[in-house]
Amino acid sequence: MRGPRGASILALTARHVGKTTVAAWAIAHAMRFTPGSLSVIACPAQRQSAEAVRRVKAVLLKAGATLVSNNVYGLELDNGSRVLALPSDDDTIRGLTVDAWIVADEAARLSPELIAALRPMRARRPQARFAMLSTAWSRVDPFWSVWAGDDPSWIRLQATADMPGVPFSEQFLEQERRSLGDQAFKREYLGIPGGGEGSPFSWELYQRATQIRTPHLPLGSAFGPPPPRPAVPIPNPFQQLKQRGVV
Amino acid sequence: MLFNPDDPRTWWPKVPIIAHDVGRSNDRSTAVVGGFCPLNLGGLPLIGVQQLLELPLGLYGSALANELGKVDQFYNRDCLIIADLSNDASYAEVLVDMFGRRVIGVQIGRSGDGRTMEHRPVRNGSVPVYHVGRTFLLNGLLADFRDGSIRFPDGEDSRRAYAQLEALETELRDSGLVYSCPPGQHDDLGISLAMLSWATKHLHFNAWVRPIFDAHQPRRHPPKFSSAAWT
Repeated sequence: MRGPRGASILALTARHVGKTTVAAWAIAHAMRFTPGSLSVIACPAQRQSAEAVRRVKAVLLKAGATLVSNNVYGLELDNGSRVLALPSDDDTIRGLTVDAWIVADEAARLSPELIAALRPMRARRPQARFAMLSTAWSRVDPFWSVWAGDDPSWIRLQATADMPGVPFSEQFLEQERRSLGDQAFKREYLGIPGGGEGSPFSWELYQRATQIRTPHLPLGSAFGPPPPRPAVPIPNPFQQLKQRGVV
Repeated sequence: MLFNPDDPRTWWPKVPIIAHDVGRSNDRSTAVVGGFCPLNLGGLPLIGVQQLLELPLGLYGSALANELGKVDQFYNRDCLIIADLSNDASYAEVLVDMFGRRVIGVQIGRSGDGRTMEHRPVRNGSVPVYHVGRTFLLNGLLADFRDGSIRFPDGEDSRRAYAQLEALETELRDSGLVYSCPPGQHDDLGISLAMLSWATKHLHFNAWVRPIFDAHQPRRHPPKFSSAAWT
């Protein structure tokens, strides 16, 4: 969450690695050191957004900040900075101008309309950061569409159970694999979206149909334009004029 | 762009095919454009999908046909139109008015192998309508995927279409395998893709494309007669 100002950040994580907590720290930092700023958090339900705001509050109180407004769905500091917990309805969140953080938590479960309503909130504030945090869900949700896309402007972070430093024991992961099943385990802990459990159209078939093979060897010279001829030196015609006495 | 048999975006099929699924009130109409690879590399002919389009919501009749016409125009008005007429039989008339004999109708039901055909009368002629089962369509597409005889450009639309196929639920009944769409989800792009695959393998394909080739033949001028012909 130390991305540069104006960054667009994608974080694909396992369950319970602390993505909401890290987002709360980042928002609290922005509130403390950017007076008058506004940050928003959007989750699939406003109750979840309120939980994230509660974590921001905990960090702010630890840092010794003074709250002048302390609600379930919003906080305000004495320096005028605010954080709001947004509802999941895109019709009711328009009109906000965000200049610190837009955090879409569990972004794979958010509707494309809600994401589309969040993005323009920083249109006139190029320093605002936009973060989509999620565990994997399906291959067509708004989070995965961006994650699997080739837009280089997104900073992609991955904190899944197969990455080093993730706080899960092997015993716990094996227990989860047995109780959840292979597909759900991959989705919840390894960041591999689900789908295709009952359908014979497996994702491997898609990958095979879209694979573009390139020749192993580069094309021979006969496929390209002819090479340029080497330059032949000739005497300077102006010097010849001088030798003939014309000038 | 260099031709690559793995990348259908670099192909220019001789006869582009538009598979057109007509949406009802709550789902979108679609147009999936594809065709055969122009270079036959031996073995099974390669089918390429070039575009997977979702047409705007709330369009019916001639407004929907106009949107389809824009896609057709991009391919020099040479496309074969495979249209799903299961929900709106009257749409055939609009399509034939706009595209003429290039329109082939499909009636998708529970069963049928696509060989049963009826000529459905329309204002200026008739349109052939084939009865084909939904399972038959999807099994044909699945066979193409397994054979490796269908190629896709990877992209958001392709992923969305394939995700619809991936989300299908299957049941084994007495009548055989049945595909069903989970509640709240759509399968219109997937069905269009299956229609495209079905059309490329159909026995009557050469007869379907004949009007398109005929339109490109040089026009024969009628013989000129002089007054001497009456003597």
